[in-house]
Amino acid sequence: MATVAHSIPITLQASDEAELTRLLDLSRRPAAGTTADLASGVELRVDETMQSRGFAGSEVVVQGVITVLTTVAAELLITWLKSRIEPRRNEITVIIRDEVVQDFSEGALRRLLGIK
Amino acid sequence: MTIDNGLGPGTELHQMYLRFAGPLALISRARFSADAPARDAVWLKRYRNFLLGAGRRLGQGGSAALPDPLPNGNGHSALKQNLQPLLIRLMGIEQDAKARGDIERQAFIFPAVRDFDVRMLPGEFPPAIVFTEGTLDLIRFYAGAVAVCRALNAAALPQILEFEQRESGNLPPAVVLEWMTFDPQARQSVIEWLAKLAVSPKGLQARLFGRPGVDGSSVLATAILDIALDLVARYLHQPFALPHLSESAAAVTDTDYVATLIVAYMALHEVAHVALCHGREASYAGFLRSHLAAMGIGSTLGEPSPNPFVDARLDDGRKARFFVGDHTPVDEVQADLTALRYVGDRFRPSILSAATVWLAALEDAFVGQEGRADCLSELGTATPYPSFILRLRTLNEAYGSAERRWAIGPVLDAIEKRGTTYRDARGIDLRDHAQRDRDLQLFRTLTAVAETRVSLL
Repeated sequence: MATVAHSIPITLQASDEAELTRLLDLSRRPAAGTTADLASGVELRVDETMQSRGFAGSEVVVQGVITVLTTVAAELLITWLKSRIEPRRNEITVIIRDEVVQDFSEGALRRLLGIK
Repeated sequence: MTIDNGLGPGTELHQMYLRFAGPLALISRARFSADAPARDAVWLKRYRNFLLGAGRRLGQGGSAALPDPLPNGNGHSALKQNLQPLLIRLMGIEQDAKARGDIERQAFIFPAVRDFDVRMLPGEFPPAIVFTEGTLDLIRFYAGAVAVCRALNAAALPQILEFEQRESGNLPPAVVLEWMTFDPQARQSVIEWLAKLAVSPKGLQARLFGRPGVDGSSVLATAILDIALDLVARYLHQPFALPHLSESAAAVTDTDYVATLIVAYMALHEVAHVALCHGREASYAGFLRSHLAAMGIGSTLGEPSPNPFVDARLDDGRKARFFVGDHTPVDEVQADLTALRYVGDRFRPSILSAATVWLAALEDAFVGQEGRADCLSELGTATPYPSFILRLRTLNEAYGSAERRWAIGPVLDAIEKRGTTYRDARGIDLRDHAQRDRDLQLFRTLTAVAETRVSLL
């Protein structure tokens, strides 16, 4: 198992904070410093949670960094994105490296994540 | 009763506005292009990303067609160049380097997006403030409609009074423009008739004035007036928030000026959100309590108070106005109150009028929207969003003169009681830019006809 220690900036966005709390399997709101184990060897550290407040409604934006420790973990991250985000893509937006994830095919995710 | 709401020309604020050559006048002359300044490119990309995900959830369409990169160009530069100095003058902070610097450094972006959206955009602190192009168009449109109503009010006051008395049997204390409550079916037929025309000022003018035996004055009393009222009524069940104006004020209206005041109010509202750390992880309740505690009034939170408004000096040197009459922190209400608190005393009545016009305009468009609180006690329980009527009442209670509060109280009551009138009459959905654009074209046509034939404006 190769060690890669890959850091990937990620933004999660939803209309409801509870939606993101459930997504990350957290017992409390995703505050700064919160860490979430997305899969074995895949950790999300939350840097900041903000609300974008507009006249018509608000969105919750969680910014953080995903750390991927091994090549196997990188594969698990792809699986997590496909299994947890893709079915809820209307409710949750994922932005990786300043790109909105719209194509959840394995090849597209690998390119976006920088995983060979 | 007649009170001057400060939206007319000739005031000190209007003179100051003219010296800026009119931010919105400038933006209307320059179209958006793709040459966004480099410093805004990052924010524009973030906003595009934001909309790609949030557009559907916020009821905004078109996200799939968002251009990449999102344009923002000459018009933006002109508006920004003028908007920030205007805000500084309104706030009276020309000599306060720290406060002035905060405004000068605040990122404003004006993306070329047709949807209605104004917001704080996270990314780094301070967040950017976003005004979409569609929002600016809508504000300009409202301002034009207000001008038409004011002109019609002045031109046809006897008929208005007669109509109101016939409809309701009584007169409100202010002459409000709900006199445009014509038969919804008839109104709709006129709208449809207009929509079927290949609308151009020339074509419509020929249609209206080309009939044998019809002179301009009778047309004013019939076709132009009826059609203009029909159109304006669809948007402006709202101007009845305006106590009617003196003849002199109604005679001439600078619609770009009114639009600019609305933009200034909205910009100050968003600046207040930023200054008050709304949406930040550090909870607003904690932020509020720390400020109030530092002033020795923290204990008043959650307790009834004879004066529910408290002014506090923020870390940046500016002053904010807090609502402490309820235990629930209320971001939108606080941002409104603080925005008006930012404005110097001599300009505040005008900005209060502009805010009133705008919020009243939005009330119908968003009426019944799920989750909006109608009274302060509901806020913070299920939703952070107040209804617009609640914001109107709070702002006017906090800053309106005794005379204004007396005049506007029944008007606000009338707005609140309208319920679903607007939707029942098939009013437009503000978020549907296709409807808005179609009617904007019709409206411009009517305005052009009115200007050339009857000097209505």
